[in-house]
Amino acid sequence: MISMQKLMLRYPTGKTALAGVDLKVEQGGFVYLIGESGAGKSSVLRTLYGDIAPSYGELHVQGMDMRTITTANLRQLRQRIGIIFQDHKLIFSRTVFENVALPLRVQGRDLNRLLPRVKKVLEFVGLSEHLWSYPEALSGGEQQRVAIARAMSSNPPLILADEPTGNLDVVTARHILDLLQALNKHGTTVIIATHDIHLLQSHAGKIVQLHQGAVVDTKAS
Amino acid sequence: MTQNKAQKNVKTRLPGGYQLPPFGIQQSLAATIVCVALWMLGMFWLGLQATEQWIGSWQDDIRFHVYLEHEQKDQLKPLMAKLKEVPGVDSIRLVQQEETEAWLSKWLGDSGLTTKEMAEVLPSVIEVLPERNIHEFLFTDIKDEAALLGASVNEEESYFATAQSLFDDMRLFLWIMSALIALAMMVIISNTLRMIILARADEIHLMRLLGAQEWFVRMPFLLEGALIGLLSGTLAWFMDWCVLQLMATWLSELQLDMNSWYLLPVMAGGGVLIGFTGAVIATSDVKQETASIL
Repeated sequence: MISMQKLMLRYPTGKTALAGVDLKVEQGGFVYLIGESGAGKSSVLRTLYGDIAPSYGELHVQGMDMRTITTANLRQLRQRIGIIFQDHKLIFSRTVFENVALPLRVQGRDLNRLLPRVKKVLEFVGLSEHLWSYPEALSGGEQQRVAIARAMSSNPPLILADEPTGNLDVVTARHILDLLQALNKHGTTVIIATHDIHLLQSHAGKIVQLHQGAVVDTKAS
Repeated sequence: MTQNKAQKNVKTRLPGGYQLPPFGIQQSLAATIVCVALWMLGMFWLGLQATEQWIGSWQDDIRFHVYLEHEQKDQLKPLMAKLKEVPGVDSIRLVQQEETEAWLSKWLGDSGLTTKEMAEVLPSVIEVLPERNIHEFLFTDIKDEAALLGASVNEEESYFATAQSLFDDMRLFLWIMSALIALAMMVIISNTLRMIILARADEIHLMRLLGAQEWFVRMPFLLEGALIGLLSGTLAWFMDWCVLQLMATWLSELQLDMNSWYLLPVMAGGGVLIGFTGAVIATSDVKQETASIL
């Protein structure tokens, strides 16, 4: 599913974000990317969905070479990836339904089938009663669950989560990870960048530790 | 049940594609400015139409008259030949003495003997009929040719030519003004949409990260630009139409039959074109600002 070899990333400012990362993630894997701030967790995720192009090395995501990928192929790839951002990136001027339906709409799905699908995913994350609410009326944990619902609405084979439990209390954070693990049990590959080490003990997965842009340890929790 | 109630209260607006973004204060302001500008432009064109009709009513009667005294009668034929060759002259005609007599008779109250005597001493008159589009030097050319052979012209008739020339200048000025106003309106719509796009930069970036195609991201703004143009153009035409209705009595006294309907497709279609082009300019900038790996 994902293969990285000697992946390097240098920002235009000159800062080296990734310094030769080697990583393989199989289909159906549940992976934690851990490390201090600036270790390169978010940079790894951003290269995976093509927000930034690697400077050197090899990167294949779902069979596509990210260094030579065409615009059309990148769009197709992004449609097969669910992304959960640390800051949710919810559109606050639109309802929960409109937010969650956005990936389906982008993919040109039949408008009549959006509502049943959105209802189903909101039921999964426990927010079915907030279908027509606006995100600002929801708590931080609920907003993060809306973001998860949006990421899973098009049933992608890969979900990338950047600090999905950041700024959430322990109970809510555990609930978020429960949801992501439930998705993983349905066959979705999940890669999570996180600071919350304590969650790793309660929710098993492959742990990849990054330090100064390089993988320093890989183990199972 | 509660959800159905909530759904009724919330209008679903899925972003992207053929869905129009919400129409807010910025769009309303842009539409108002464009509408007023197009309304004024429409009024100018209608004014030109009125002037054209007014000039057209006496344009067919424009004649220049060249007078040649009796003593120089031998120059009549060469003068007629010379005048015929002047660029812009359609035809010439020697006014017959009987015609002059008839004219004098009409103005002097049928005193036949007097008119005959008078007509005999009056100079020969050559009537010069200009082409439809009178160029600015025609009257001077005729005057020069006449002077060479000792004839004179009626100076007051040059005012007709001057009026025609002014009218042509006015038409050219209106075309240039229309082009400049169209350009300015395009910039206004483009800047308005650019502000809206910047306000929605996160939404646009998110759509791109979800794999949206370029047309899907841009289409709402293109539609919005076209809609602002269409609304402004149509409303501007309606305002022009209202002004014509208010002036109907005065216009009919001047025997001017104004037609504002031909302006409707021009203003509505022109508005759409201006708005759409402005939106294309606005969205092309945003592509460069928010594109990542693409």
